[in-house]
Amino acid sequence: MSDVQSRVKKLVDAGILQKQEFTAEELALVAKISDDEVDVLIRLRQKLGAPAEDKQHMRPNFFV
Amino acid sequence: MFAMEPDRAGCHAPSGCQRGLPVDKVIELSPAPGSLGPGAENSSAARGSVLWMKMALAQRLLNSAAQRFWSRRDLPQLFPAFLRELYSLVSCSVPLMSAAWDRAAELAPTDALAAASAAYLKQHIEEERHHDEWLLNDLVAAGLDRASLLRRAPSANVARLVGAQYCWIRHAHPAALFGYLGVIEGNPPLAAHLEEIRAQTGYPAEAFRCMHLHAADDIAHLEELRTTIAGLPLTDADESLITASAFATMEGLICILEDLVTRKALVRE
Repeated sequence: MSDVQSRVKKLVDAGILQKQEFTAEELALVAKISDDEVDVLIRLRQKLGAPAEDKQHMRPNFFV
Repeated sequence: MFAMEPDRAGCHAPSGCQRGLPVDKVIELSPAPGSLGPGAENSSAARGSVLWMKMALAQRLLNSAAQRFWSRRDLPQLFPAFLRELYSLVSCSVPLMSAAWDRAAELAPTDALAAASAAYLKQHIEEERHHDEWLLNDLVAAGLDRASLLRRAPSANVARLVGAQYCWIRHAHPAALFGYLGVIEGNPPLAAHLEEIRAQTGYPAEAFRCMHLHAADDIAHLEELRTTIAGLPLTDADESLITASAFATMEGLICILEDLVTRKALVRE
């Protein structure tokens, strides 16, 4: 399995990315996420859990 | 389309951050049109698209934490503490951007990325100036004490969040601040959610004026920011730095929200 495929699988398995079918352009984007960055995203996703589908309009409400 | 968690708010909107689109239609993962064509992997627009995608991933995780916070039954008791943290953060913003602008202007003669950063920051500082005063007036209208808000030092969480940016500005590159700005300004409040909070907390409409202004105003800021990032002359190292800044900002904001809950629980015990 290539590094790109491995990163996609990790992100999909963690529930961060939902679909496993990506265009070449989209894979090119995922390829740019480093392993360390993938790990940060997965760690936080595991800690925070899945977002609630009926609360997608909720934002942190911080601004600059 | 690069699909993530299903987002009922419309995060899978078609390409294009246009003024006038609802805020929930402008956060997206798709690469900028034409940015990833053959041989374009290392172009500025391609790097900008990659950065934007990483920021969008960070925003989605931050939104999960936000959902947990804003759904709490004890929100009316937590809300004043949230407002104090928000005020701290907003009052740090212009001085932080000014520090980044100073450093970027210093480096600009021999550094194209610094020159581009300085041009954006100079304009953005003017756009954000006095917003802390507007917010302060709203909080006073909500019943918070002006003198104690002005006297209060930023919390450790706010200091960590903002302090990391000062470190990167001084010891790495002022363009790091784009990670901070991307996560915060790339994910502005939604008016409907602000109305829900108002109903749930019972705070007057005057307490939400500045927040509502940012719900509307940040669409334009978001467009400016995305265009700027897409045009930055980035190296791999710059992209990593800005990503580190974005992820640290995401984690810092999550920490603020979680600690508001933890501290309230400790006060009760």
